[in-house]
Amino acid sequence: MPINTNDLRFFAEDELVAIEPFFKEEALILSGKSFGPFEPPKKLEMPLWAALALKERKQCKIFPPECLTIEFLENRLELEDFLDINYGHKPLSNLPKYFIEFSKILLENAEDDIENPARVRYLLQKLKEIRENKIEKKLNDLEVNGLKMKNLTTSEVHKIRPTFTMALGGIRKLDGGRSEDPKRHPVQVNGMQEIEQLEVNGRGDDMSLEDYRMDLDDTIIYD
Amino acid sequence: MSRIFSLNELGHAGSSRLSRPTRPTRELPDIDLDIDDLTDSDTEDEKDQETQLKDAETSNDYEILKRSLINEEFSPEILMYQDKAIDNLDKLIQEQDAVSKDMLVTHERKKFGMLLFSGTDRIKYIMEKYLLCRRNKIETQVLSILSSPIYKERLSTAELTHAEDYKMLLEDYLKAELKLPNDCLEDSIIKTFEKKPDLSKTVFCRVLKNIVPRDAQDTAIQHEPGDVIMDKYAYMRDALKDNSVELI
Repeated sequence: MPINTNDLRFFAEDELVAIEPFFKEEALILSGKSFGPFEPPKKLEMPLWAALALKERKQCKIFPPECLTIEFLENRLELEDFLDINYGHKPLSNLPKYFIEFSKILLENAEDDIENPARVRYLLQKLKEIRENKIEKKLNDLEVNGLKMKNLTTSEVHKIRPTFTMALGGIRKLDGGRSEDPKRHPVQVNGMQEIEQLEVNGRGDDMSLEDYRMDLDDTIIYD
Repeated sequence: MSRIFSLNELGHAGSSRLSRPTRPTRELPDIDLDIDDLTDSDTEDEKDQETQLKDAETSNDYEILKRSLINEEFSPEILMYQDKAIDNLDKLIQEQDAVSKDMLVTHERKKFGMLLFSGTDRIKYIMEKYLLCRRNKIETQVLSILSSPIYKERLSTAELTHAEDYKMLLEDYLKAELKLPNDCLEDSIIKTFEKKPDLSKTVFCRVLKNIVPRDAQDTAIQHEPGDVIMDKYAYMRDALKDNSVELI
């Protein structure tokens, strides 16, 4: 059973969040890690899933992390635009690993603890769209040697995996007969020029994709 | 029964379908341990420190297993079995089960008991998913794994037994299906059913430590922590082995 979006949510639920407990208790050990003691109004950090379970029983208040505040999100939106304008290669701003799942879970289950949730939702959606747009454009930069990007969240990787893997597979198939040379002009997905170039380079090359793969990895592919 | 089949021991008896953690009812394990024993101990600081160290270790085991699960899911080949993490978490589950059972009978501490139950279920979920992922890989690549000493070394004892049993079953099946006499199943026939790991599979990985790109002429150019690289698994294999990258 491969990792799916439910699993990503599961991993995001292990992220820590600040809470204010409404009860007094000793420390509690969860997954081998100690949390507490619980002494209101003292804040403490707990895994998101545990915080939500306590909140369901009206036993705590959750303090949303900084990354779910309007200031932070507006700042990130500006930063995404700034990076876009000032650096041609469209880098992404830095976000926590499970940012998207984490925000979704909190908005679904602890909306009342978030200040102006409608605005937060709007900003999150906008941020998501801007980033997705940038990532899609990266597909044009895809070359036979793969791709490198900064600050992709896990959810974004999960989303682009099928398309990018398929595109890279296609590029490698087109490029199959030749050796991987980083200095060579990259083959682009949407470039007519490169296709012509391919034809020129392809002449007299009898190596099949299977041979090429075996040569590289010493592995027989039966797929 | 092989270790890899012994998921029942981990508390999911009779459940063939992997489900997200719930709050099942279980038998009380025979361990007399209370949460207070761990946190409110009347012994001296030394013991507290010991407990804290143990906490840090088991918490780390949970994180290690989560990371190993993700790596295992995306890696085309079988990776090293995390025996230490599995053993430690198995013990932790037994301890937590006993503690939470005690808590649930005390009304004031019921909410904590429920939390502990859920916490234990989360550990079990990760363990079960990890073991199932490996079992699936072993069964798919059984011939390739058993023919390679490197891959064989990566299996637990129970996984190795399971792989050998599975290979025998496969051979029996082939004999029956191809209607061959017992001694006529040649290696070449078996080899045609061998599925090797596709090391040229494209994977995504996140850089954890600075690494030099494979095509860099200048070693000053490095992949930095946080970079996400998409490339062939074969090129990321060594970096994954020394924990310089994690698969995502």
